Amino acid sequence: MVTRRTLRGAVTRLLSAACALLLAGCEFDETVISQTAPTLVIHAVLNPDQAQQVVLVEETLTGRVRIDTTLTYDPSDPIRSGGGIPVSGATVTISRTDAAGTVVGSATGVEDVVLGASGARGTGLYRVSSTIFVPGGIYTLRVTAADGRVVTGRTRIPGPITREGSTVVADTLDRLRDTLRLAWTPVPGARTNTIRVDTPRGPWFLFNDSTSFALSGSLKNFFAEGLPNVFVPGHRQSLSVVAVDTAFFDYYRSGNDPFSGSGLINKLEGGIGLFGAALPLLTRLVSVTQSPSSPLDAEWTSGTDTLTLWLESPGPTISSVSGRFRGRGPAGSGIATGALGTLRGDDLRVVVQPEFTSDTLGVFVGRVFADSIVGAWSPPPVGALPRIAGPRTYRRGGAPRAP
Amino acid sequence: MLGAALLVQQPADTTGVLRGRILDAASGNGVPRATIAVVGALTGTFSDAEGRFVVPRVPAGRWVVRGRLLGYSTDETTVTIRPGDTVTVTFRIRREAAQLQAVRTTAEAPEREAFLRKPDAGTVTVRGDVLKRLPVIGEPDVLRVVQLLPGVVAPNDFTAGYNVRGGESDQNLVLLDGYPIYNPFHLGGLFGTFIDETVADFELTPGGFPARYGTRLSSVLSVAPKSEERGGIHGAASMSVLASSLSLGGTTNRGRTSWNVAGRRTYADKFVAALSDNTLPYYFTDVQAHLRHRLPGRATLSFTGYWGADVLDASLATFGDSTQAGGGRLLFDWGNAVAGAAYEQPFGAVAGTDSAKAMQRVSWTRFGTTLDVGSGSLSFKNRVTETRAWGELTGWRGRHEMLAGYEWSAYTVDYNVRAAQAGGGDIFGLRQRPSSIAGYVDDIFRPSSQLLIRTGLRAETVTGTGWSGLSPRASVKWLPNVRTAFTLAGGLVSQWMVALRNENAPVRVFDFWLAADDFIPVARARQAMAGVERWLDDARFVRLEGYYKYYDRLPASNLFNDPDLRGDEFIVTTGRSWGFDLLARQLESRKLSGWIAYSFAISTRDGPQGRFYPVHDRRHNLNVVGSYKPGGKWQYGVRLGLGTGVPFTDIAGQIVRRTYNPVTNTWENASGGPDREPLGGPRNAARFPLFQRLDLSATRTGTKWGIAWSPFISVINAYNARNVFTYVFDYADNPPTRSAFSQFPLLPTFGVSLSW
Repeated sequence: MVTRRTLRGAVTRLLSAACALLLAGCEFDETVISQTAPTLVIHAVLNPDQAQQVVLVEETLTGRVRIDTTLTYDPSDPIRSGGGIPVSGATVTISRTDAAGTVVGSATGVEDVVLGASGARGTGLYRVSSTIFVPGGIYTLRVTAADGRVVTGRTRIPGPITREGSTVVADTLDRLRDTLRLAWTPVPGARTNTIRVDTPRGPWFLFNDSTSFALSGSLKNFFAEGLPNVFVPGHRQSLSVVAVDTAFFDYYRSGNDPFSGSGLINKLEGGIGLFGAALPLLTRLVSVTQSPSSPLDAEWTSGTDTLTLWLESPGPTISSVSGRFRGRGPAGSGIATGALGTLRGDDLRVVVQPEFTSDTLGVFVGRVFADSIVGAWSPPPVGALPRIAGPRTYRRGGAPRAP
Repeated sequence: MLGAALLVQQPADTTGVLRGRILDAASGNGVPRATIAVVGALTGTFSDAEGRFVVPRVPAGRWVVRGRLLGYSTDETTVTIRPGDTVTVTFRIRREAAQLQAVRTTAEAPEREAFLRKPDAGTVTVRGDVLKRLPVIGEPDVLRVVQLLPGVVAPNDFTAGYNVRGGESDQNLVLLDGYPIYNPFHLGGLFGTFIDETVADFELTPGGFPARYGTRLSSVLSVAPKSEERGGIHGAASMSVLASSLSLGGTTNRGRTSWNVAGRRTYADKFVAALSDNTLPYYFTDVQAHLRHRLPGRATLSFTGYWGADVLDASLATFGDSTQAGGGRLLFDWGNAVAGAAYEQPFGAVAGTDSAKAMQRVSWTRFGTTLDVGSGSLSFKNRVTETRAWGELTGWRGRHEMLAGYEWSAYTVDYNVRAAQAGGGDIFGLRQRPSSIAGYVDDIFRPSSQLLIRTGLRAETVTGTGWSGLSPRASVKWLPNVRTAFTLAGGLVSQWMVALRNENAPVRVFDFWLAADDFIPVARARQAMAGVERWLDDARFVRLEGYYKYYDRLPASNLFNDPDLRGDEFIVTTGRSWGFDLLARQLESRKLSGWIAYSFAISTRDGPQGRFYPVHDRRHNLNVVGSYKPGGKWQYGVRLGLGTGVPFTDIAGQIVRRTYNPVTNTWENASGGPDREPLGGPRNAARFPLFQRLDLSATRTGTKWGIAWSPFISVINAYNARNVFTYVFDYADNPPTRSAFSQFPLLPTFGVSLSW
C-alpha cells in the first residue's frame, strides 16, 4: 500500500512547487517571533536482529537554538548533524513486560559521546544492549530528561517467525528488462511490512500487507527530489522486507500537513515521535545492471582502473550517468564501488562514492570521445582514492559488466 | 485565431434584433401566444409560454412595435433599431376588450423584474458585459466577479474558487445553461472555465433555493450562455497576456436556428518555445458551443457543450538543469466536459391552466483529474461523471405559477492510486455507482399585488446510502409598495457529492470527488434568512439580508485516516454560519454602475477535536465595484476590496522526522536534508492581517473596418498592498522567524477585444 505519507509526500511536493511558483519573489516581511516551549522527541525502533537498540532523544525546534545547517550528516552524531537538538544526560530505560504488564526485564541506555571543540559532549543517541529483545516481546520505553520531563511509550516486536520462507528471485537486476519478485512468510503481531530499497539518492520504501511483491526495474523514487530511478546501474543496492508494528506504521504513514501542522499520528505520552518495532524478514544485495543502449555504456579502462558507465537517464541538455569504479584503494587493496555522474554534451563528470553512503571518494571530470575518455581525477578530496588522482585516459572496452 | 475570425467576417449587417416580453399587467405573468408586430417592416413573431419573444433581422430604423392578443388590450411603443444592435422592450396588456389606448413602455431590468415577481432571497444577476467593464486578471472571469458579490468570500488571490455564506467551496452548484459542472477552474483554481464572450448573464443564489435546486448546500451559480439572434455571422475575439479567444455566432434557417461557438487557449507555452530554448509545458483550453432551434409549434430544442482541459505534460528534466534527469514524465491533467440537450414545449391553456409548458433536459457531465508524478511511478486519478435527466411541467393558473419536476442522476466515481512499477495493480481503488432521484413541486402564489408566497417540497433518495429525505422550501415576499420588499425564506438542503479536499491548502492541485455511501454521510443543512430590499429608482436598490445556516453531518477530510480502512476518509462534523449581507447596487443603465457589497459572517465547525473556524471565515468583507462610462469612447472600472483576515493555524515549532534503516540499524535524514515538519498550534486560531486591494481598468472602444476594437489595460493591486498569502516559519533559527509571502503584487495586464 502507498500510505498517506506517500500520497502526501507526492502531492505536497507538487503543491509546494505550485506554491513556490506563486510565491517566487513575493516574500515581503520577516518577523521575529517568540520562542515556544520545547517538547521531547524520541525515535526508537526495536530490532531483535541487532545487538544494540538505538534510541534518539532530542527536542522540537522552537527557536531556542540556532541549527547549524552547514554540517554534513554524521552517523556518529546523527541528531546534531541531522538538523536537530540532542538531549543529553537523559535516562533511557526499556523494559520487557508480560501480557499483564508486569516487568520481566529491563535495560538502560548508554549515551554516545563525541569529541567537539569544547570537549566531549553527548549526542542524544542512547544504545541499549540486552538480551531481552526477542520477537513477540512487549516493551515499554521510559525516557527521563535531566530536567525531569518524561516520555513513555509501548510497543510489541512482531513475531516470532514461525516458518522461514523468504525469497527474492534474482541477485542481479537488468533494470530495463527485469522485475524483482519478492516473497516472504507472514509473522504474527505485525501490523504490516515495509519494503525498502536503498538507493544512491536516498531510500525508497513502501508498506505492503501481502506476502509477495514485484518491483519493476524502472521504478521511480517518489521520495527523492527529481524522481530519480530507484535502481541505478553499476550499484549494489540493499533490499529489505521488514515486519513492523502499529506504532511504526502509523508514524511513517502519517505526517504533519505543511499548512496546518497537524496529521502526524503520535503514540507517545509526554513527547512526540516513535517507539516502534521492526523484524527483518528478508535482506538482500541486488546488483543492478542494464543492457547497453548508448555509446557511453561500456567498460572504460586505464591501467588497472576500470570505469563501467551507463547513460543512466537521458535528458534534453544534461543526462545522468551511473556506473562502477574498480581499482586500487589507498592500501593497495581492490576497490569496487558505485559512481554517479552527469553528461552534458561530451563533458563527463563522475563522482565515486563508497557503497551505501553519500560520501565522495573521488571526482573525475573529462571529455568523452569515440573510444576514449580523457580527463582527470581532480581535485582529489581528503581521503579520496590517492592512486587515481591526476590525469587519465580511459579506453573503451567491452560491454558493461554487472557490479 | 484572429485571422480566422477576419476571414469569416461578413459584410456589415443592416439589421438588428428586437427582443422582450409581453406581460399581463394585472398579474405580471408572461402572456403566451401574443402577436408582436413591427409595423411597416413586415416582420414580427409570437410570444412564447413565458411571454418572451425575439424578432431577428429587423431593418435598421425607427419603428412602431405592437403587442396584442385577442381579449387583451393592445400595447405599442416606438423603438430605434441600429445595425447589429439588440433592443429590448416590455409590453403590459390588460384583460380588457377594445381599449386601444397606447402606453409607452421601457425595458425593465431583470433585477427589477425579479424584485417584483420572484419571492427568492438574495439572488444577484450580473450581465455578461459587466465582465469586460471591471478590472481583470489576464482575462474577464465569471468566477472572479462572483467573488465580489455579497456573501461570497475568496480565501486568497490565487483562487477563483469561492465560499458562500460560510459554506465550503464544494457546496456551490455551478450550472452552465442548467447543466452541472463540477470543478470550473483552471491552473490550480487560478482561473475560471467560462469564456466571457459566451456568457449572456449569470445569477448567484446564495441560499434559500427553490425546490428545483438540490445537490449542493450553499449556493447556485447559474451561467446562461449567449444566444445569437442576428442574421449572418457575428463574433468576438480577444487577446490578452494570458490567452486568446474567439467566439462566433449567428442564425440560420430564417432565424429559427441560433448558434454560438467559442474557443480559448493559453499560449504561454508557445511563446516560451518560440522565443527561448526553455519550455513551459503547460496550457489550458476551453471550447464551448450552444445551439438553439425553434421547432414548429413554438417548441425549442437546444444543445450546449463545453470541454476544457489543463495539461501539464513534460519530462521532469525539462524543468531545470537537473542532475537527476531520471524522473521521467510528470503528467497533470484536469478537465471538465459537459454535453446537454433541452427541449421546451409551450402548450397554451391545457388541463385547466391558463398556460403551461414542459421542459426536459438530459446531460452528461464529467470531471477528471490525473496526477502522475513520474512515468507511472505514482499516479492519482479521479473521474466523476453524472448523467442526468431533468424534467419540469409548469402551469400558470390565476394567481399561481405551479411547477412539478424530477431529477434523476446516475454517477460514476472512480478514484485510483496506482504505482504501476511497484506491485502492479491499484494501490487504492474506489469505484462508486450511485444514482439519485428527486421529485419536487413548487408553487408561487400571489394572493395580492403586495404578497408573494413560494412553497416547495423536494423528495430525494440516493442509492447506496440508505438515505432518503424531504427538503421543504418556503419563501415569502411582502411588498408594501413597489419600491420596498421584505423577504423571509428557509429550507432544508442536501448534498451527496463531496470533494475530498485539504481546505488548509491555499492552492488546489488535486481535487477529487466522492459520492455518499455507507461510510460518507449525505450532508444536510438548514437555512433561514430574512431580508429587506429598497429600490431608490428603477436602476438603484439597496438590499440587506441576514441568514443562519446549520450544517448537520458535514463530511470533512480525516487527516488521520487509516489507508487499510475503507470508510474513515471523512469525519463527520457539524457547523454553523450566520451573518448578514448588504448590497447597494446601481444597474448598468447609467454612466456609473456597480455595487457596494459588505458582508459580515461568522462560521464555526465542531469536529472530534473541538470547535474551530473554517479557513474561509472572513468576518468583514467589503467590495466596491464600479464602472464609469462618461459617454465617449472610454470606460473605466474599479474594484476596491477590504476584508479582515481569514484564519490559519499558527505554527508552534518544528520536528525533525528521522527514518530508521532496519538493515544498518541506523537513523537517517530524508534525502535532500532533514525532514522538518511544522507543529501546529490550535486549529485556525490565528488570523492573517487585513486584506486590501485596489484594481483599476480602462477600456477604449472604437470602430474600424466594421469591427469594434476595445483595447484595455488593467492594473491589479494598484498600490501594491502586501496581502499575506501564507507564512513560512523557521524555528531552526535563533531567534525564530516568520516570513510573510504576499498575494498578487501590482500586476498590470492588457489586451484587446474585438466584436463584429
